[in-house]
Amino acid sequence: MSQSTMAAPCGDGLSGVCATTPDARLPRAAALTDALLAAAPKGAAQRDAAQPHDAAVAALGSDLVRGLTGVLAAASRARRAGQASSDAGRPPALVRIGHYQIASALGGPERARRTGRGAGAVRPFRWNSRTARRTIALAALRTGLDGRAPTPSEAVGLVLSDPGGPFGVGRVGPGSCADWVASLAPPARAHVAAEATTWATRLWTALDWGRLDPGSLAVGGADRWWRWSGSAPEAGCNGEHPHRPCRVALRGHADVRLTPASGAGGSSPGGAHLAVLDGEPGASTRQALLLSALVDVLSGARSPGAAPPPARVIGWWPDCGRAWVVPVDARSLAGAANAVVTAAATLLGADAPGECAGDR
Amino acid sequence: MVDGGLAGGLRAWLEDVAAAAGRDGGGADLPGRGRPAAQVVVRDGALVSTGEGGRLRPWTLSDLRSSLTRTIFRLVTTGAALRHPLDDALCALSVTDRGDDVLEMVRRLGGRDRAALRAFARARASSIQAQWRPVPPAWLPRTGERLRVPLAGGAVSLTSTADLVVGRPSDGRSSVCLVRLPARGAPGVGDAAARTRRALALAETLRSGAPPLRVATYDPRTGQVACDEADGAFLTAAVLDVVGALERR
Repeated sequence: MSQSTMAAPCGDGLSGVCATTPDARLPRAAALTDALLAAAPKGAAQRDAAQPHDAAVAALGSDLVRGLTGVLAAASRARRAGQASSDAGRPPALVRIGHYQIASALGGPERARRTGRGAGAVRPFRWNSRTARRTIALAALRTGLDGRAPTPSEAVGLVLSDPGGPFGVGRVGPGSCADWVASLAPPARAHVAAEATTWATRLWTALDWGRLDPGSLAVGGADRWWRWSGSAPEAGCNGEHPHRPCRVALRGHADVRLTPASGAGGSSPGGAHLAVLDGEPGASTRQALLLSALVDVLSGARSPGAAPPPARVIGWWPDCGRAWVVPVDARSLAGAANAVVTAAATLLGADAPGECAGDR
Repeated sequence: MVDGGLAGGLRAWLEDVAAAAGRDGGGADLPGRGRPAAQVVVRDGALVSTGEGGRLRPWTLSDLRSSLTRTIFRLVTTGAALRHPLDDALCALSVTDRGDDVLEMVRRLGGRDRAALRAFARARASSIQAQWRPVPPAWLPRTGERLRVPLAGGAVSLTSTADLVVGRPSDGRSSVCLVRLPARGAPGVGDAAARTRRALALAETLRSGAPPLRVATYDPRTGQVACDEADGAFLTAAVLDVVGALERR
């Protein structure tokens, strides 16, 4: 049985995207694993991974910086036009942009209507069973892949038995998941464990782990970041316009990272990122998925020893069984950079910006 | 063995119907395209809303009872100790994303209502514990699984929830079983429960590519379990439920 695959039209400034809907092929894990292991597409930016195209990456970075600078200036103008000097409208000193911010900014009215929150609304983070389940489940998955637990629920139990320990959920300290879990009463902890077990089981059974080389596989792990700092004149007392710095941090998140095999050529696996997502794909999904690749590309330009970017990013929605495979190439990365600029504009209260130069 | 074309055939049938239903909203689920302005949500085989499927609404006492029941079921089937059913269930619910709503509602209850709620939780826990045991880890238990199948480019969404799922994903044979407790205020038996089972089986078939081995509804009020095998006729009836719901729009 062949997997039914459809490719999106590319004539509207969008990169090619494959939406895999493997209705007929069982087990599903084989199809998703194939997508992770597939060779890098010819002509994709994966050549950048093996043989970095410094000029293209530098152009991408400078386009993004130009876009962000424009956003800061536009936000500053909007504030000066709309208010007297007051702290109330000051921009945040740090803007973090991740999958959620991209989806919120690009999802716009559709997302706002469905969630009841505006695109620019910032919901303060707090741990709960939903926000903690991914962290715990990924730690459990690593435990299972290492052979220390035979099933997801036993792996989650092992992780939660010592959340701050060597096989726990990572960082210990104020605000950490480990400290939050450790503070819970047994029924609450059991509920968190049930959520995490469900999440872990979905990913545990979604891939044929035996086909993935443990040496090039990273499950969970720390998010990767690309940071930029700029400033724009602010309204001040007595007509002064002091420059206020603003930092922008892009968060590259992936649940599974498969790094390219060394010496990867045209037909060798080029690396891939997999993100497990709730619900169903939406209008902003493609750009949000590409953020992890964009962060890798931009980080690689700054530090040559950084991890090479993936050949593709894969979004997988277990709620609906869909998987999207998004090739990473120059155009798709430019689109992702545009989405970052749009998200920054939304978060900083600037007018909608123009496109980055690369997204033509 | 699973009929390899079954899920695709069901989806094609539903897509035709859903495309007509969602035509006024336009759009397509091709990557990069926008979603239609309004989404038709068919939950458990019945039309529930147009465009407001995901919006949070105020928490009610009926929601609270339903959530307590589900939480107790979840704690029991995952092997957690239940000593004080209401307190333990509220403690568990306090770490959900609606935990604040739950605790605030309970805080506002008068003494008599709170006593009634305590008796309710005790009765539910007693009935669930009498009929269910912790599911062995090797059965890969998943609790509180959401199923959401977009059709017609997201113009129509089929949704359901499984309170318990066991079994490894299909490798060619039906291998998954799903259990569902009654929805808030819904009867646990009869036509509505049967439609819920069909909807659950259909959503699982569409998302996984294989029909489940069995789907069941469990009503903790009566202790009654109703179970169906998800064969072709059963899934056809599930599609007809959706068709009927969309035609009645």
